[in-house]
This record gives sequence, C-alpha cells and structure tokens, in this order.
Amino acid sequence: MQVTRASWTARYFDGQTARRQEVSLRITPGGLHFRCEDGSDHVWGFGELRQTQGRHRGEPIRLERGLEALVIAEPEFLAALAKHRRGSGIRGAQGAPKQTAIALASALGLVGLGISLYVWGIPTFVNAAAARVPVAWEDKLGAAVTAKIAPLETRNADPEANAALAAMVARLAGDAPSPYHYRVAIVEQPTVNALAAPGGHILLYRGLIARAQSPEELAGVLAHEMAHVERRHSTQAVFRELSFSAVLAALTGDARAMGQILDLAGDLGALRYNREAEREADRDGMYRIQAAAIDPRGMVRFFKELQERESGFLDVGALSTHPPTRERLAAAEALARDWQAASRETRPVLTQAQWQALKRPPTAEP
Amino acid sequence: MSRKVQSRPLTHRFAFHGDGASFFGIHLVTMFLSALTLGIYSFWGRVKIRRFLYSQTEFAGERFAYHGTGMELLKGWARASFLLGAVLGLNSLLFFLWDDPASAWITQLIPLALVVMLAPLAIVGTLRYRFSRTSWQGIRFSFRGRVLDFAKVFVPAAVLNVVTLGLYFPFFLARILPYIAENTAYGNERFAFAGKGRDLFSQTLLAAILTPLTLGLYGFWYQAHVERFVWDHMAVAGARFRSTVSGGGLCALGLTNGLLMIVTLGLAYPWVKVREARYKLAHLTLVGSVDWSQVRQEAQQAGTFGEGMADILDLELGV
Repeated sequence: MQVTRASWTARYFDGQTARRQEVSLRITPGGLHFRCEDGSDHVWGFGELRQTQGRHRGEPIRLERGLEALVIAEPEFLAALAKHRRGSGIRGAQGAPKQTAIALASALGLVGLGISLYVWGIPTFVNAAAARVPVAWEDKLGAAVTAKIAPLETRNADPEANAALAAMVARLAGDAPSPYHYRVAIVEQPTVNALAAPGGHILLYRGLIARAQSPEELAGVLAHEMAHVERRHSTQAVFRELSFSAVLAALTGDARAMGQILDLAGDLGALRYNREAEREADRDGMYRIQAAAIDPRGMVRFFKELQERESGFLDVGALSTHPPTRERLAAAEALARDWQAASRETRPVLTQAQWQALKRPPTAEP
Repeated sequence: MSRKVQSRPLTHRFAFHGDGASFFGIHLVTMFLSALTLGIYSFWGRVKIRRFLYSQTEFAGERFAYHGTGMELLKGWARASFLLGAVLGLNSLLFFLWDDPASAWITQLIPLALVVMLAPLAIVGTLRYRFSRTSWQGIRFSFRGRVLDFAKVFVPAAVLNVVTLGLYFPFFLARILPYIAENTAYGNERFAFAGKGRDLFSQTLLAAILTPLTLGLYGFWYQAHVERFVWDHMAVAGARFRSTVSGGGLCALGLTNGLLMIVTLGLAYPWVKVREARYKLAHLTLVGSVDWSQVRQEAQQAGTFGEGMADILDLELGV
C-alpha cells in the first residue's frame, strides 16, 4: 500500500495558551511542516519530537516538542512518518500491533516465572532460610503458633498425665544431642491429630490418645512429630507461606496483601508438609523408636487403625495431607520386620500407671 | 474570569475511551517486568498505566496527557523511604537503649505521630507532583498549596471526622476542598469550591441510619450524593462542573464489578477500573463558555518526595 498524502489535518497547541488551532501538516525531508492561523510557519525536525500518545486503538497520535504538541487523529500518519524517517528516529514511536505481542509474551513469561519460582525458586530459598534460622527464633515462633491454635485453657493440666508424657519424650529423645527442648501438650479436643510447631512445641489431641491402644502406638506418633521438628519442616512451611505472599505482593504491587497474608502464616494452614517431608518424618521416627528400644509394632498397629478408619470415613482431619496410609503401613511393616530379624531387645515405654494417667480424660480427675 | 457575557452556556463533556483488554495488557507487562527486576520496573509501569488512563480521558474533544517519568517516581520513593527508614531506625534504637517498660509507649507513639504528621505532607506533595505532570491542550495543571497551611486545615478536620465517627464528613469536605480547589489551577485559572457542609449533612445522617439497615446498599446512594456535592460546587474559569451520577447507577456498577472480581478471582481488575472510569466520566460535564485562548501557561516545579511518601504510607488519593 502506498501512503502518499500531501497533507494531514492536525491540532496544534503552542504551550503558551490553551487555544486549539487546526493546522495542515506536511511531512518533508527536513521534518514536519505546518502553518498556523496567524500565518507563522513552523518546522519540527524529526530529532526534536517525541511521540507520547497513539499506541492504543482509537488513541490519537500525539507528538510533543517541549511544551508544544501536535495531535493527529488518523493512525495512517504513523506509517507515513515511518516512511520518511524510518520511524525509529522518533523517540517513543511505536504502533499498536506490537503492544498485543508484548502483552502476550509477558503473560507467557509470567506463567513461566511463576512455575519456575514454585518448582525450585521458593523451595530452594525456603530450605536455605529455614536451615539458618536460630533455634531461639524457632522456639518463639512455635510458642506463638501453638498458643494461637491451642490456648492454655484447652490443654490438659493434670500433673500425672503430663509427667507420663514427659517420660515418653525423654525416652524418645535419648542421649542423642539435639538443639531442641521439647514441650509437648495434650489438647482436650476430640480431633484425631498431632502437630509439631517450630522449635519443639508439639500438640497431641485427646482424640488421638483415646484411639491409641498402647503407649508404643503413641510413641510412634510422637517420634514422627519430633522428626518434623528436627528437620525443621514446620519452619520451612512458615517460610513457604511467607514467600508466596511476598511474591504475590511484589507482583500486584500491593503492600496491604502482604500484611493480610502475614497473619495467615500463624494459622494451622501454614503447618502443612508435603509428602516427601512426611516420608522423612516416618523414616526418622522409626529410627528414633528403634534407638529408644521401643517395639516398632506399635507404630504399625497405629497405621493399621488409620487405614481402617480411612476406609470408613473420608475425613481424617489434618492427617489427610499425609501420604496414603497403605504406603506408610508397608514402609513401617518392612522396617519392623528388619528390626525383628535383628531380634533386638525392647523395653516398655511407660508403666501401666503412667499409661492410665495419660489415657484418663480430664473429667475423670478427682 | 474569562466568560463572555453574551455567549450562552456550553456543555463540555468528559469521556473515557480506554478498553479493558489494552489496560489488562499494560498490567501484564508491568507485572512481568516488575517481577524480573525485583520491583524496580514498577515505577516505570506505573507511568505507563497513568499515561494510558490520562490519554484515554477526553474533555471537550481533547485528550489529557501525563508527563511524569519512572525515574522521578523511583527517586521520590527512594528519598521518602530513606527519611522514614532513618526516623524509624532511630526510634527502634531508642527503644533498645531506653529499655524501660514504663516509657516504652513513647517509642510506640512516635511512628503513629509520624504518620499523622506526614499525611498532609504526602497529600500536598502528591497533588503538587500529579497536577504539575498533567496537561490538557498543552497547558499544565498545578497545585500551589503549602504543607503547613494544608495541615492547619486538614488535621483538625480529620480529627473531628474520626471523633464524630464520620458524621463530620460533610464539614470535613467543606473545609478541605476550598483549600485544595483554590490552590489548584489550570494554567493561570484557579479552581474554586463553594459547597457548604450543611448541604450534605442531612444526607449523611440518613446514610448513617439507612446504610446498616440496607446491608450497606444505601452506601451507593450516599456516594452519589457526595460525588454530586463535590463536583456541583466546583468551578474553574467561570464554568461549573456538573455530575449526574446516580445511586442506582453506582449500585449497578458496584455490584456487577464486585461480582466480576469474585468470579475472576481479581483478574478482571483492569476491566473493573475501566467500567468505573467510563461511568463516572460519562456523567461529568463542565457547563459554561470558556475562552481557552485566555488560559495561559503557568507551569510549576514539583518534586516527587510527597508522592513517594504517599506510596509508602499507602495513601490512596483519587487524583
């Protein structure tokens, strides 16, 4: 298509007053040429002008030179201008179709950036950051989280039950050096659940204790939660939640979103682990039980219970984020078999009296 | 005033031409480049967004233009965060050195007092910067208000507004809008605001009763009253603005926009903004004959410090 127009209609603003002047504009090799109503001639060299509008559909083309401006309604003018001066000579010159391509490329780039952040960026950062956090900091965070999830009045205050629990923790902790000082509380709620907050704060729910048939079963669960603590899984979960919200805030440029999601970080939702973390905790827990000379069949029995429960109900509380019970049961059974093959000695975790104290619901207290 | 005595009043229309798809495209590019540059690009992205919004806004057949640059915004933000950071850093240092629980409230009060004192500075700075970078028909707008003068008007009015749980709001507007209008100019033509608080007061009382009773729906009607109160008393160059925004219109717009945001999980934001601008500007006019050749350029220098401060303080100014 040949764009050869002798002249273009433009509106000229001289930057001195707000008066609008209709001018006839010609593109000459020396620049843009136009004559005002008062008869004065103007020449704008290509190098002096700057295109500031006309990039979007229906938007008139606006050329500026200092405070002066020329506005041309016809989009074909840009093509004619480009022909004379190769377009690129004008600062800011850009047509409309390119915009769509750039937007599409940005959308693709955003998706790509999001996926790569999710797949390796955030996990790498999270693991590195969680590994460097001082234990004292984890301890403060864990205390705050457990205080929020289970306030003091929901916890069991029976000294005998807590002493029994302390004995079990001491047995599981053994002589192995650990930077963590464990604080385990019984939450008087019927949920079948246990959770580990950062820094060694662990919550065992009444529903779980009621379901356990032997101290060895409970020790299995406790060993699993202690493994989460030692491997800093919950600290990682908190960091993960924080980094997601930070990325979100950076993308939307909204600092308020950040504050809102920061609050969320303290919630239970943040204490979710991925399946790999659960497998690690299962394995470490099993080793811990063996090191403490506790019969590993307790853990196997507990997984069996869980499986039966799963077949009957869909809802297994927070445990539903764990790997399929069948798989965990198989892994635990294999470990127990190896251990039996080695025919190691076992000692009971708790005395009968301690176990009774632990099993006793608080309403039965004298 | 430059109104010609003989000419009959003309109605100059506003219009917004932007489409949601183009606006969405600009947001996409901004988000992508901001993510790549760890947020540095966001200042340039903001300029692109403003340029789009201004150039899609038409008044009397001519588009507005935005003249700000990303570097200016970055510098303003950097200066403001340096100052705030220094003050807050000093404050927390004091907190540690002092280490006296009885007087700890002082160190907690300082940031709060800072925000209250800095709000007028941020508002004035933003108005100065934003207007100085806005033009129509080649003539720049300007704001010549001073921080201390504005604070004298703003702080007592804002405090009374909070103390009266918003019942003072009409008088708050009637106190700060004349100051803002009289210090705002298009070229050499000053704006003027002549609204009286009592004109809006009965509506405010009604809204205080009806808004909770209608589960917030009456808020749209009150918003329409406020919008009309503000514009219908605003004048420039002998011509007066007129808004025909209605409660029903704002309600339909607000509800459909809310639904759009929920259904699309916020992705519809650019479309929502465009719909809002289209509605509000379609219902705004300037009535009166103005001889534009009498409006002379009176450009003004303005820095971005206040704008950066407003950005950090998270002030949303409808400019």
